[in-house]
Amino acid sequence: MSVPMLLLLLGGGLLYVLLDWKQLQQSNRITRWLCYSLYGFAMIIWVVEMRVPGKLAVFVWIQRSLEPLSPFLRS
Amino acid sequence: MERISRRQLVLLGAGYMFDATLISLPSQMIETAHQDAWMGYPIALVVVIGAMWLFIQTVKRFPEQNLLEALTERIPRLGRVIITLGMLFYFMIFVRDLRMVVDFINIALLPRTPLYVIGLLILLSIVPFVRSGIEVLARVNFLFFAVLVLAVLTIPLMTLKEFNPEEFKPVLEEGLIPGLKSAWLAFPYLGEVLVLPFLFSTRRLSFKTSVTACLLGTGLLLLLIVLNITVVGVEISSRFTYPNHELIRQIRLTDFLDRFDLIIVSIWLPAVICKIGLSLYILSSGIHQILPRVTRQLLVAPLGFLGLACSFAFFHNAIEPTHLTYVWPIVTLFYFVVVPALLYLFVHPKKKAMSK
Repeated sequence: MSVPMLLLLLGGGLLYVLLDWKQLQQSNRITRWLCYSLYGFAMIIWVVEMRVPGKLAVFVWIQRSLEPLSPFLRS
Repeated sequence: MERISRRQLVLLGAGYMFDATLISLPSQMIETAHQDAWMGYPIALVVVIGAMWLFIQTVKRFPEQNLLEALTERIPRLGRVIITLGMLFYFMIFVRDLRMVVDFINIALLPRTPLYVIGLLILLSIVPFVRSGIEVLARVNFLFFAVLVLAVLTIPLMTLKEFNPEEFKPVLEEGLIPGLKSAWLAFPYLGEVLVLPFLFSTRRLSFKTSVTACLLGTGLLLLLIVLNITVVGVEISSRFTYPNHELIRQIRLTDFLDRFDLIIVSIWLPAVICKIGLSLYILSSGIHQILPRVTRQLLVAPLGFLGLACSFAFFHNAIEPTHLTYVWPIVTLFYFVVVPALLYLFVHPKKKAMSK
């Protein structure tokens, strides 16, 4: 992923934060911090994915760890 | 109180089964079971209906409540653990579907548009109607899925010229094993319909409604796989990543309408967006149930962004979601067989509530 693409995605996230800003400020602390932490977590994943592509391939881990249990695999 | 008709519920359930399953699963089923691949759907459906019966019987014990509400009220701590595990599972479905749709659009329609832009555009369209609630979601799905059903039902008429029933033969050449393997692959996708009891109480969702949704969704999938086998052929279908897209590309109505696939895809796309939206809805509802003070509507956008980030980080490429199909049934056995059975056996209302 390129830097402009990352900025585009960050912009998309920021757009929703701005649109929801008033409601977020009026909502309780748990909602506010849960929303901010979900956005933050998403951004961390984007940045990690940009710097080290394929590092967080969770489904590949799941696939490799479950392969011995599967009754058959792709022929 | 949100009002959803029985017909909307049926289409919501059938759409949740059908919309993402048709993307690439038929290719893997045909690759595994060849001409007997179609048997996979009816066999898997029997197990799914059994699991649905267990869920509906459990929810029936708690009138006016859906499964999320019943679990948090009856077994507050363990119930929240079960809901968290369920949310994790539906988050994975959300992530996988989003990635599969983004890859499909990129490969089949917009090869020069970056994947991230397609993903962002899908997300920007999903968030507003998921925020509006299940009623809006059901109505949007009703509009598009009903048209999609009609479109799918017209495909056999338009491919009649290429229809070759000889492709079914030899039936059961290697016994029942290929059919069972095909059912193993189809089971997790058909089982996704088990989301319904988590969202609706038995006042709205009856067993009959759930079975109707299952039959409609599976019937349409069965029709498509039969057409894949008889029109496109076993050898060719098993080599395509998107066999149903190739099937529709066979249709050429007249000289001026040689891209009929674009019309079908333009009907299917809003329907699959509704499916992804329903996954996002159940995620936000589940978190709201675990943490009741959290406002559900505000969670939709951040959860969507997290899902979008994960959909690109969790897979290396467009082929990996299809490879996952071979091991995914092991994960789903826990959610679609063990959990319904345990809830049916152990979750009962308190005796005082029962006597009232």
